[in-house]
Amino acid sequence: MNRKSLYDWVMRWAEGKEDDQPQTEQKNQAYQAFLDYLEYLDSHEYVSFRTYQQMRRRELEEKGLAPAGSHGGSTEQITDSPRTGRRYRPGRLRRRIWIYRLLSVATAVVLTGTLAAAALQLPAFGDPNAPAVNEVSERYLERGLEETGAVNAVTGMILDYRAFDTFGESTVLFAASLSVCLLMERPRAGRRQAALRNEVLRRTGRLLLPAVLLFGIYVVLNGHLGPGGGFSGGTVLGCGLILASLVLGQAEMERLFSPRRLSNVTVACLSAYGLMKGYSFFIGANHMGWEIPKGTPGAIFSAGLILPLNLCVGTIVACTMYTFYRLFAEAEG
Amino acid sequence: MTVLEILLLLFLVFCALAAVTTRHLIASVIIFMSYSSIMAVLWLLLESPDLAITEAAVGAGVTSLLFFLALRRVRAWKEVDRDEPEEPL
Amino acid sequence: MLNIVIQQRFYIGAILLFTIGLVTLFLHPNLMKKIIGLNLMDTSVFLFLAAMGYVEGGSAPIVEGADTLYINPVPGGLVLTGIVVAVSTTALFLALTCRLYQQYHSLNLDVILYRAQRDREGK
Repeated sequence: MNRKSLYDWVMRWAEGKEDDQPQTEQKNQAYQAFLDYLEYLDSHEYVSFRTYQQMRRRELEEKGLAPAGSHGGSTEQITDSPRTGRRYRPGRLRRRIWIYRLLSVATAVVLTGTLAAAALQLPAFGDPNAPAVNEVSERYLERGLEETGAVNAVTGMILDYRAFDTFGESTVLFAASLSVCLLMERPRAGRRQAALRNEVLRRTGRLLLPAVLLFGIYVVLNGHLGPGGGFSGGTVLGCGLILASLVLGQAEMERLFSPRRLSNVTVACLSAYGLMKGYSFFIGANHMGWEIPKGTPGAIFSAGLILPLNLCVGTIVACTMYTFYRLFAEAEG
Repeated sequence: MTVLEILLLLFLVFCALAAVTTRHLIASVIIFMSYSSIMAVLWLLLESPDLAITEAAVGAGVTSLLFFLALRRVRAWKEVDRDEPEEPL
Repeated sequence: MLNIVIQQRFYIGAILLFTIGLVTLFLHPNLMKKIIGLNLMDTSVFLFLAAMGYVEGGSAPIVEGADTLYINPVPGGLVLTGIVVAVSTTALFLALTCRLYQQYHSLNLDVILYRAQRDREGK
């Protein structure tokens, strides 16, 4: 065994070995043409391989790159390849592909059968006595209003009882936006996305924009009183920011929301969240008498820290969504 | 109500099948958008308005938009790729 | 049997969606389709969890009176954060796919593997 490692061997096995590949120059050309065809199929309507070859030849002839009829010979050699269709896999994997497919289908069938059998045995859907409705949720519903001050039990749960979990989720969001930044950012900045050129779309967007932003802000601020909260409102706000960027043009948006400012705001919100929740756990959980006043349930300034926490989460989510959009929309320079 | 829920669930499964079997990638993303909207309606029926708001904004808004933008990027590169002379693989 | 299936409709539907996503993830060679399959799996798990929390005749957990029946708020809270995290993972996958395309000019996983092997052996 002159192979370096097991990993190397597995990779070589999975990707096929050299001796499985077409050898001669002519065969290579045919193979390349077929690979190009596969690629073409990924993003276009389905055409047969022969039609594709003809289109390609016409294209080349128009550019003057190839004399008419020069590619005629290669079509013959590949006519038996397209029979395997889009699932053509090079190398050894092509020969063993049926094992992989069989195993996948078997796994799926067994898993579905098991899950379906389990689902039929589960407590009936909507059963009030199901084990999932246990003392935890009863406590959240019965004492939640008095302990957190939030009318919406879901918000009270994710921002008070389980606030550290939410802190982790916000950090995951920030980490994801950072990794997308690392993957998509170019050394030279791409051309900025211009505003929509279509007059009707732009006017309609301009009309919709205040409503969407207002609804997002309402949902964030109303999180402890009704359905909504930082996560729901944050996504709506993010959609609003994306719409604004489409309507106003990205150059205009970056005067207000530069990438640097966005990440600064996100970090500030994360730190504020950590500090507030740390304070709450340090003081409130020990019942030493310095608890944050809960206020009247149902009033906008109530529920202690839940309103500012909702604001923080909403800002983080909205910034993350907008950052994703900005990174993906940057046109190629 | 049960009939409506079953109809919506069937439509959901149909949308999922259509989204993964359509050849055209843009079409399959649009089908995924409608899938998300139906999912939002189902969550409203399950008495979870928070989830419905989030799914409507996320599934039909942000995720689909990201898919479209990624597809556009890929196409743009393909166009650039086409103009260059054929490189040997 | 049919009665039970109708009663457990949400669970069965979620499992069907999960299977569709899983098979797509396994068998479809196109990376974009794989990401869509992954998203289908995500939402099916969320549907399953939300259905677990439903209580017949309950209303949304906006607490107003003590004697009303509410649905279970715990799965709702978990799913709410899960949806937003699912978006960020989707964005990450899409970014990775774009980078792969930039390198290998294809969305087809087979072609990418083939070209990666060629590149490695070409050195």
